[in-house]
Amino acid sequence: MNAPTQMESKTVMTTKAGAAAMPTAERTKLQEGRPVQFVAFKVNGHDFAVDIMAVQEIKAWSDVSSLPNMPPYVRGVLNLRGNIVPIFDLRCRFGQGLTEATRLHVVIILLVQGRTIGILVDAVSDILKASSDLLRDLPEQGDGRDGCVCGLLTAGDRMIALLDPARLINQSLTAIAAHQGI
Amino acid sequence: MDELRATFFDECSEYLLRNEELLASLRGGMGGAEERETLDAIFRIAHSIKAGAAAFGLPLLADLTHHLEAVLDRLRTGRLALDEVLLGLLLQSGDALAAQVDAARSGIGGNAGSVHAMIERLSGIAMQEPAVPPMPSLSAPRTVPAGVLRRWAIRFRPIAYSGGNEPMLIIRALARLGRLVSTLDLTQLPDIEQFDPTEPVLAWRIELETIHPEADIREIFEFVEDEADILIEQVEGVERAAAPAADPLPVPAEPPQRALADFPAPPAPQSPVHEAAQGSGKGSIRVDLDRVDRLVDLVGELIITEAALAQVCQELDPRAQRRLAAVVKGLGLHSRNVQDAVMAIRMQPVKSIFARMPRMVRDLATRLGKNVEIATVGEMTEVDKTIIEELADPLTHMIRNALDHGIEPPADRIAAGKPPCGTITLSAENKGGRIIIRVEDDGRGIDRARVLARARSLGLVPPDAAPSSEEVDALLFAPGFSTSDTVTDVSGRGVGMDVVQRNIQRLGGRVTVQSEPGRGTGWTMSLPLTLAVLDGMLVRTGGELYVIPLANILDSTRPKPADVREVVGHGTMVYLRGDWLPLLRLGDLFNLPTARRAPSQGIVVRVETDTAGTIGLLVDELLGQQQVVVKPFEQNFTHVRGIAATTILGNGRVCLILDLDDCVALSRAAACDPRDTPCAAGRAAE
Repeated sequence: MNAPTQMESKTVMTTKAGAAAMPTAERTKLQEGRPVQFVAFKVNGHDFAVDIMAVQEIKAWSDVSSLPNMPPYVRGVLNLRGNIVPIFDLRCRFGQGLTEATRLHVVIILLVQGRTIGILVDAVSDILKASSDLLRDLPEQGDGRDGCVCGLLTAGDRMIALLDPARLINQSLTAIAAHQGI
Repeated sequence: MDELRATFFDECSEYLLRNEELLASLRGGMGGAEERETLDAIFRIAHSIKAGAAAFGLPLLADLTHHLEAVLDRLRTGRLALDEVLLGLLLQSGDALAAQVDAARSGIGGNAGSVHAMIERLSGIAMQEPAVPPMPSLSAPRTVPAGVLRRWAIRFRPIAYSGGNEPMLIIRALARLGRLVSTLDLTQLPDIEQFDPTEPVLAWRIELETIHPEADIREIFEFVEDEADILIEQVEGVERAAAPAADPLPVPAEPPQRALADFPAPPAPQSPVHEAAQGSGKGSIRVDLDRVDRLVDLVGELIITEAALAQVCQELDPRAQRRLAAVVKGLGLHSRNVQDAVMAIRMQPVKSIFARMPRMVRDLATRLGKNVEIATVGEMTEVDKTIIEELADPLTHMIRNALDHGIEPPADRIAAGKPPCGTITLSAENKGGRIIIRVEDDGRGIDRARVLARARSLGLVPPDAAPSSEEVDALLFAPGFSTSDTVTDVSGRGVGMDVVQRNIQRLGGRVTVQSEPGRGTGWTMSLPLTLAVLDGMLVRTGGELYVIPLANILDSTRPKPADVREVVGHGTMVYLRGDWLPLLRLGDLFNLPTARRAPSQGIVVRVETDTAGTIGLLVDELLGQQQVVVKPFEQNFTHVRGIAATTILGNGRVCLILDLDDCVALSRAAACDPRDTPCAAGRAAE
C-alpha cells in the first residue's frame, strides 16, 4: 500500500460544477497546444492522471454498500449528499487485485457523461499543468484491460497514464451487463 | 421571454385538453344555459390562445384561433346551431391547434397548408346565416338585464406588457356597457433618465355608468387580470331605475372598431359552473417540476437527518436522552407532515389522462365502424405525477385493445341480444395505499380457444398441454403475442400487453385480466400512489442490509427444521401456513458467503410476487419496519439485477431495495444454467 505522497489525502477540492459538465472525452483529445490541468494520482505504485475538468471532488475513503453480483472492481455505492454514486476500484480494474482500502485511501468523484462516479485510488499526488505537446494519444484498444487509458503524459522523468473516465465507465458498464446476463 | 414562451405553450396544452373535455361534454347533448356556459368556456380558451399567439408572434396560430373564435361566437349567440358536423369540425380544429402549438413549440414550421384549409372551413361556416331558425336550446335571446343603473369607479393599471394586451381595446369594450369617462393617470411617469420602455407606467381612472352587473365588467378584464392592477368599486348613491325600454347600450362616442367585433360580448349573468371554474383556478401557481423534485429531495434529506438525530439521541446518557427524545419526536412529526405536504404537491387527479380517452374512443370507433361509449368513474382520484405520465401509454393501449378485440360490431351485438352501443368503463379508485385502475368492456370476452390455438402455433404452449382459463388469459401478456391475423394501425402488432405489463411492473404495479365469454373483459392495474417513498422492512443478510417493500410481505417466521425439504428439481421447499412454498435464499442469490443457509437459523419472510406467486425468502434477521425515501441510482450506474432502487439510512449508508420479481427471475436463471449464473461468475472472478 502506498502512503499519500505530496498531497494530504483528506483534502476536499471542488471545481465548478458547470465546468465539470464539459464532455471530457472531447477535451482529452487535446489537439491544440493549450495547457490543460490534470489531477495526478497513484494506483498500486503507478502514476495516473485525469483531466481536472472531470473531477468534481476528492474525498477520503469511507465504507460503501456493496452491490450484489458485480465484478469485484465495483466496490459498491456511496451516499454523496443524497446522490448515490458507484465506486470503482481502479487497481482491481487494472487486474492487480483488490485495494485494501483504509481511511488514507482516496475516492476521486468524477462527473462523466452525466453520471457521477467515484474511483478508488491510493493517493492524489499532484495537480499537473501540461501543454498538449507533451501528450501522446493512445487509441482505444478493443476490450483490453487498460483500454481506459487514452494517452501518455511526460512530466519530468515520469511517464503518467492519462485516464479517460468515459472509456472507463462505458467499458465497465458493457462488462457488467454481460456479467449480469442482461 | 423564453420562459414566458414555455409557459404559454404549457398553458396551451392545458387549454387544448380542457377544450377537448368541453367538446366531449357538448357531444353528450346538454342544451340551455349549460350548453351556453360550455361554449363560453371554449370561446375563452380560443381567445386566450389567440392573445398569447399574437403576443409571441405566431401569426398562423393567431389566425386560426381568430377564425375559430368567430365560429364559436356565432354559436354562443345562437346565430349558428350546433350539430354533429360542426362538432366534428370543432374537434378537428382543436387538433389543428394542437399540431400548430407543437410546431411552434419545437420551432419546426407546421403544416401551413392544412391550417389554411381549416381556416377556410371555419370562415365558411362563420359566413353562413342559419337557413332555419336556430335550435331552441341555443336561440335563447340575449336578454339585457333590466336592472338599475349603477356607477362604477374603475382603476386600471397594466403592470406588464408581455401579454400584448392593448388597454385601448379594454376601454372601448367597457364603453359598450354604458356611459364612460376615462382619465389618464400620469402620476407614475418617471424622469426620462429612469424611463424603462419595457415597464408600463400609465394608469387609467374610469367612471362607468351601466346597468350591467359587476361580473360583466370583470369579464372584460378577464384576460388581463394577471397583468394589471384592477380595482372596481361601485360608487354609492347614484342608483336609479333604468327604463327597460330605453336603449341599454348607448352608442359609444366612436364606433367600435373591427378588432372589437370579435371581442367577447357580455354574457348572461354568471352561472355557478363558470364561477366554479374560476374558483378552482384561483390561488394556484405554476411551478417548474424540477423545483418540486428538488423539494422532495430536500425533504428526503431532512428525514434522513432526523433519523440520524434519533440514533445519536439513543447513545446519550438517560437524562439528556429523555429531554432530547421529546424534541426529536416532535421534529419527526413535523418532518412527516412536511413530507406529506410535499408529496401532495406532486399529486394530480387521473383526470388529465382520462380526459384524453373519450376522443380516442370516438375516433377509433368511427374508423372501426363500431358504436362505443366510454364512461369514466373516479377521475378525481389522485396519484403522483411521475405515475400519471407513465399511465398514458398503457391505458391507451388497453382501450385500443378493448375497442378492437373486445367490443363487437353493432350487428353482432344485436344478434347476441346486447344493446348495439358498446360501453368501455374506465375507473380509478384508491385502495390500501395504491391506485386501482380498471378498463372494462362489455364485449365478447377473450376468445380462449383462439388464444390457445395461436399460442400453440407460436410454440408458447406445448401441443399436449391443457392450460386453465387463467393460464390462457395470462398468455395475452406473452411477448410478441397477437391473435390478429392482419396488422392494423389499431392493434395487432404484437407489441402489446407484454409491453404494458413491463411498464406497469417497472412502476411497482401489476396488471391482471378477468374475462367472461360473451360478457366482457376487464383489465385491472394496481399501482403505488407514489414512487418517491416506500414502506419497507429492513432486513440483514450476510452482513448487508436490504429493504423489502412492505407491500410484498405477508408475514415472517422461523421454520422448524422438519418443515424444510430439498426437492429434486425444485430446490428447497418450506412448509409455511399449511402450504409448501419455494424457498429463495437471499444470501445465495446475492453471493453473500456469511449469510445463514439453514432456514431454521434465519427468518423466512413470506412474500408475494407477480411471477412466482407466494414464496419464502430467507434472510438472517428482521430489523424493523421503516418508511424509506426511494433514491434511483441507475442514472449514475446501470440496472443491478434483483435491486429496484436504493435508499439512505439514518446513519448515511446506502441500502438496497429489493425487486422481488427480479430476484425470482435471477434465481430461475441461476437454476437453469448453473455454469453461467451471476453467482458462479462472481465467485470465479474473485
